[in-house]
Amino acid sequence: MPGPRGVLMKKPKKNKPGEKTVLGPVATVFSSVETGGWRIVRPSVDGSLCIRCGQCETFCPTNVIEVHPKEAGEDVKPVEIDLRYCKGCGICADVCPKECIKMVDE
Amino acid sequence: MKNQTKKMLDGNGAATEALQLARVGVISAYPITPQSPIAEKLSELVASGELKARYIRVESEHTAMSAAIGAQLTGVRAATATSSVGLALMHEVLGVAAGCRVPIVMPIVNRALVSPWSLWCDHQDAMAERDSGWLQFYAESVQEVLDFILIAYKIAEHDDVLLPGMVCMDGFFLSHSTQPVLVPDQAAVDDFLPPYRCKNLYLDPKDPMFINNLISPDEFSEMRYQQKVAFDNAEKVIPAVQEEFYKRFGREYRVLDAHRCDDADVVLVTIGSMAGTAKHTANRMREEGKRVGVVRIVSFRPFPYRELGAVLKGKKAVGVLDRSAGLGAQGAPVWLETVSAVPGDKSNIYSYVAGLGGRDITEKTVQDIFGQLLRVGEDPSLAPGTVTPWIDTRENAMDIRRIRTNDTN
Amino acid sequence: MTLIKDPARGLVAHGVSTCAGCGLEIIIRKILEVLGENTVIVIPPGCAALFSGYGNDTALKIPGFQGNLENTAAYAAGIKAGYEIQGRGDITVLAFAGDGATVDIGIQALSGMFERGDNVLYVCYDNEAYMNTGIQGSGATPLRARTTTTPAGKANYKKDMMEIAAAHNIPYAASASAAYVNDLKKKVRKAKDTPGPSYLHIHTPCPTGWLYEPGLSIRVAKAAVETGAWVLYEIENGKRTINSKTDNLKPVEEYLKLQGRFKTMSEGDLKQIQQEIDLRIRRLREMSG
Repeated sequence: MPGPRGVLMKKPKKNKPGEKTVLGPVATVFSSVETGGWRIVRPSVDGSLCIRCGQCETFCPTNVIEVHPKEAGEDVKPVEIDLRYCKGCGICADVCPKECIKMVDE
Repeated sequence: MKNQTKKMLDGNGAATEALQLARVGVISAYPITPQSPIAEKLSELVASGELKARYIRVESEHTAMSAAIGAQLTGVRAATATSSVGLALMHEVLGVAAGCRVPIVMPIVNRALVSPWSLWCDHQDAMAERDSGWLQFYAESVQEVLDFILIAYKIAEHDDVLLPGMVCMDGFFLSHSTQPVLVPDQAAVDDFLPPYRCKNLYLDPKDPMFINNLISPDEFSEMRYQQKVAFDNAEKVIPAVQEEFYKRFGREYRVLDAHRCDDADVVLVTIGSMAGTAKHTANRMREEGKRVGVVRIVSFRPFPYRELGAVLKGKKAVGVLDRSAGLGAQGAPVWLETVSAVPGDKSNIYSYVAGLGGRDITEKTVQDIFGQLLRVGEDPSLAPGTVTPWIDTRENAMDIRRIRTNDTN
Repeated sequence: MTLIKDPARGLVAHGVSTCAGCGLEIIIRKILEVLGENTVIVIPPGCAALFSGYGNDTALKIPGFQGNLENTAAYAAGIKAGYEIQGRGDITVLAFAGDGATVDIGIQALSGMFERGDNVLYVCYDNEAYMNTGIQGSGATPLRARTTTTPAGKANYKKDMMEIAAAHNIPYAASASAAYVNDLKKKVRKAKDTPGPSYLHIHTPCPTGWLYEPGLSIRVAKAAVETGAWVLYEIENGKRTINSKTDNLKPVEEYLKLQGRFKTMSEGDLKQIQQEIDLRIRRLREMSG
């Protein structure tokens, strides 16, 4: 039906159970941007030099580094990096005391 | 009515009573003449324990409105009040309350904006906020200050509205004028105004959301439109709430108040306490056989254009008396809205500006206006020589600072 | 209400549009790690607003509100008061603002909050300029630093927010750094547990504004502390405790040379900066007894 100033305005859809509309500016979805697409270099870890100190995990701005303890087993990499979000900033490489992380071309 | 008690209150006192009856939980008011007694009295009520609330002794009006919004988002009614430049200082944040749909109700004690500096009554402060997205109501009497605040809460918090609202009272003329007021009992108000519940957007770690983040051009119009729909809905909600208030408390209000307009030749549109003087003057003139009428705008936002258009239809002449200048436009603010509301030929609607900066709007001012309207109502061609829009401004306006100088030019 | 579309460890999303190497991103994660879910955050426009999100998407799992640039402390005070009157004073209210929003336009609201004793945890992430709008100078820009509005290098000293906080007699104020995470977390916990207003001023390295390779953020922030350009200390009810080393400091050039924003500095400028640091540290050591 024509609304004010002749603009056609739809009535809001009927709410299904467990659903409602809210009005005004609000963000209701927790989500990530695929920041991995920004990279021009990526971290490459030499697991054999890694002492699992955790510095890379501590200082990764995107919090995508997980350092696994030895107890996790032989076939678990000491340092796991979620490349979907890694921006290739290079902090992990810079803070590693054993220099076992190198930034290589993407 | 049995659910009310008579008290002698001034406008500030009535506003304080209303806020207390509404059980506000957080107060953040900053003192400014002529509103300061509201900030003071609320502080006393909190200190004595009569009002269970947190009093944030804010360091500016900008903070006052910000803190009120923050508090109300947690689920309590937040109270603040202001005037003049205090309202101007809140300007940036008023839009946040409106856009985030936080239904704060705020008494405004109308006072001129600067410059020139003035302490006294003028509507420029509230008129400057007419696009803020806030509801606006104007009281004519101290009783109305109290009643309109209670009514405003119910309108503002209605699910179909969710808009903040200002209840305006003329500085000093109402804020400091003691009148007999019927104050509803707390139980009766609790029945009329249920406890505040968080609706729509709120801050609660048990139900997180991020409020007021950046919105793209793809969604901004739609959110602004939601506010417009709220104003459209308010047009229906306001009369309904006024009706309920009448049933409970016996005082009848409408979005505008038409006094002896049906058979009037000429009508004066008014707003605020000046309406009382205008009605009194109209009654006197009626005794002399002059067919004059007065309309008072009660709800300025949303503007009652349909109702006003109907009242003013077919009148020989209409005057609109604004208490603010609306500089740069063809006429003053209420005149612009009136002209827009009246269908057809609008050439007989005249803008008047009076009562600025605390100048009293007297019977004589109103009589003069009616006199002009009656003359041009009979013969519009007389308008150029008859109508003086700035009716109470002295003729020597350009000359009031004559000083000595050494220039020989 | 918030729907989790992309799972993340912790309370902050992994993919946020902050610059690569952003110091702010490191500290917000650590702070929220300590404060936990029972927290409401107030963020003004600025770099942190990237965590508020865009449109229907947010990068935070906790409830939050985006205020204006100058009134973060005001909104926070109101929110806290609202919770307290409803018996929910256990909820932490975190004000999270940049240096511009704190030391310049936001200082009035912050001062009011301090003076009233509002129970708010205020964090200033100090990247030393208005970074989000394009690197304009703020009151927290250090001496001789280049920004778009101090192109010849800032001629004035950095506003000392720690001492301003101290002048308000608040129970707890502390300076921290993105490079000293354990120290930061300890201070966040202390701030959270202190009733009344607490203030954390955190040195936040910014590769985009300070002009260095993104991977060097921690190295740069560390150099600031190792040269005394940034001192880690606490002020608890007027008592100052220095947490970082203040003797045998490296010459400040070791810190400044890492950053492009000090490239136009002269020998005289360098001397002035070193003198200012020496003086400030001497004063601080005297005050902390």
